Amino acid sequence: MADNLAADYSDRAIHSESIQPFPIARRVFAVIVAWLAPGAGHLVLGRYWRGLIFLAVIAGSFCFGLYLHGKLFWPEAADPPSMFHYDLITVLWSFAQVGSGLCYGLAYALGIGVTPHPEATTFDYGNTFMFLAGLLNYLVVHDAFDIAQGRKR
Amino acid sequence: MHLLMMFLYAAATAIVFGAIDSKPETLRERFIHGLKVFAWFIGVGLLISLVLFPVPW
Repeated sequence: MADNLAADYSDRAIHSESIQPFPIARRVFAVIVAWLAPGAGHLVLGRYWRGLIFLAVIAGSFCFGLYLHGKLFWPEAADPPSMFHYDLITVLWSFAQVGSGLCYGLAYALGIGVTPHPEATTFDYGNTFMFLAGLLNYLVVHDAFDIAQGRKR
Repeated sequence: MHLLMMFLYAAATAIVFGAIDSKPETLRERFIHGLKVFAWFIGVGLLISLVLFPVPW
């Protein structure tokens, strides 16, 4: 029992020594790039396969959402006017979409998804996939931060 | 259509969750973890739909 415990703790010690935090400049760069381009933070940190998987899934979800006539949201003024100037649901929706970084910016710059098509039967599905892309990218940014800090592999 | 969208949504989420979770170490463990997440999403989604089905919206 004691031998097993000792072996377990020595294994953990080896594991914790083998995970080193990245230099501060690379940490900051990885997190910023991870937000801008899904998966790019993992590529910067040398987790190539994971980075490519995240790029494919998150950018793919966002593009699929646009294909299904999803709309790019931005906080809109509350109507009728309320204590909080903005319509809270559009604030939350735009927060979710902005998480996908340049996917959102490029779509806006190219004018895709700017004009809403609520008459399309897939409109709500499209929005949902675009929210999913942004929210998953927030998780991926957090994961890149943990790897850069040396908290996980 | 709705079921297909639910499967795609669950698949995308399961892939990302399977890749970022720190508990599974090997690729096989990650794959199994992703499958479990996928199954939970589909199972809970179907359960919620069954519960909400009789509700007159």
